[in-house]
Amino acid sequence: MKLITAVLPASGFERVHEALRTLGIPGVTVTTVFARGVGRIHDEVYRGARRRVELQPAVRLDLVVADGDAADVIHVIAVAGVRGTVWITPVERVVRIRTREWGEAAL
Amino acid sequence: MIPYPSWLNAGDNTWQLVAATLVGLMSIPGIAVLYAGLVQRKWAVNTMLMAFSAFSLVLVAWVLYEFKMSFGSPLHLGPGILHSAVGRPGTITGAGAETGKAGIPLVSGTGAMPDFRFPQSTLAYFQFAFAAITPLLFLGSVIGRMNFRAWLLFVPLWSGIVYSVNAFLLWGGGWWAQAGALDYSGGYVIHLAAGTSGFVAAAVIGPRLARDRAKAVPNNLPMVAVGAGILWLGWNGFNGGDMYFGGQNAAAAVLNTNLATAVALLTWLLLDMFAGPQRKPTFLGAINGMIVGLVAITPAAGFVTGVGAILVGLIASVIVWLSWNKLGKLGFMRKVDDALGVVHTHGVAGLVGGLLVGLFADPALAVYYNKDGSAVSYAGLFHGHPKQLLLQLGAAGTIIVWDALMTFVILKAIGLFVKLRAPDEVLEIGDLAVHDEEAYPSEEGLAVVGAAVSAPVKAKEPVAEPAAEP
Repeated sequence: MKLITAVLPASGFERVHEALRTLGIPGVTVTTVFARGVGRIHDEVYRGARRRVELQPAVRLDLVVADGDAADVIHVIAVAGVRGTVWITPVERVVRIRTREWGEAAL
Repeated sequence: MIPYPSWLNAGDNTWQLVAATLVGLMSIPGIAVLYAGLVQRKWAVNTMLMAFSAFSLVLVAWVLYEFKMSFGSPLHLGPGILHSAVGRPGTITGAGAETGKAGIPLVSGTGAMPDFRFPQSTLAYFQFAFAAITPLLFLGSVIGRMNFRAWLLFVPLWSGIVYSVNAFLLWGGGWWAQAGALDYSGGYVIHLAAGTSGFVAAAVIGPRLARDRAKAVPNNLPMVAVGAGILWLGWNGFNGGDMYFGGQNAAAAVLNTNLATAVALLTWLLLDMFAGPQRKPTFLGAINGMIVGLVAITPAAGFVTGVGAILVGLIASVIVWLSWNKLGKLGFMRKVDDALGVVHTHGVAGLVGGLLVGLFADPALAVYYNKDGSAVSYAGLFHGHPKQLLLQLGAAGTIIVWDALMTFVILKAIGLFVKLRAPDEVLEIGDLAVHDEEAYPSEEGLAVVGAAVSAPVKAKEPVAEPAAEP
């Protein structure tokens, strides 16, 4: 099994999420994070004091998929998204708490 | 020494200034935070700034030319309604104009009302607060895409050309006032005007981004509660001040206003619970009902009894609820992106209230008194005066046609020089693109640009590898 993590600009997230749903990925965890490199750097000015916003609100997506699906999921995220990063980490074990299922059956 | 001339009554003057301030508070912060909470997070700053700048623009226009156009001597432009449709523009910045006795040439000198007991500046400031809130109300129709520069041009032009005519026709002693049409406190002059103009402006300027329309969730409901509460209680000044005296009619108008509002809020709530699409009570639904009640009782406040006020609240809330939930879902209504539905909560509600005056106006309710002690009052259809309903219809038609037409013309004219709608790439970003500010800035990842403010960081010793265990 693989853990796929993507950090995407908040504005492009919708399309990726929609694409994953179309692909039939059942579960995904979304976290709001701050990241550099996901959007255009801009300035904010409050009462004359200019500040550069280097970290922008971004969305972090975590999903665990079967080994065979990982390449497809990465592909879908890369095609639907515009910017951001996605990476894969191996996963040792997954347990679905409600059903006590183990491994790929738990996905 | 004496503090003020003998025509001045301190009680009336005090009440009028308090009422004017209450109406002003309805605009800022009332409408500013109500709308700022209702719009998407990325438009809150833009919405508030449009409100505050419009409030300022109208006051400057008001003292330089607009007050006289609304409440001054008539400008005779032709026969019929043109003979008294608007006043002659002029300033009210001189000492005499500010401290002299208030007067409306076609009204106060003609036996239509008692002599004013406060100075002109009180009348001007009170009426300014009404002129100012009207563009702020239809701001709700055009937020989320209107170019800020176009707004700065639109407000004084609309106020000078459209609002002054509305006000003169019904309050400045103009043609419809002479005919006998009634608008206690602005159901037509303000709310029908805002609903009509907002709808037309939304159509001319064009819709928000499709994605924004689909995802337009409010960003702060407690802020909506603050704004709505200020509106409700502020309305005590709105309807309590319009007969210009701190007397029995002001008191009845305040009670009626609150009564109609409570009934309308509860009516909308119950309709949501038992007939609405979700069958659930909703906060924003209740707030809509509240606004409908306030708006609908506005043209009627001191002309109807408590029973009339309850009926106005009930009937208006049902009609606007249907308008919002049924009419609003029809194709042609959906095509026009009236962002906050101002055409329903102000346009339809103001129209319904104005027509109900023609039914429920009760001659037993004294507005003023004659010297012999008899009441000066008005009667509607249910009290033997069917013509009142026709007058109400005619005045409403005039306001709708004039406001729709001129809003269209003014915007088309401004559009020749300035883009009415901000470019799509600006709309994508919102406040940050227009103002470099956002409503809820994050402290994460901020770096000061320009002058260094933090002390230089002293170099530290490099971290040494821990010594191996012996």
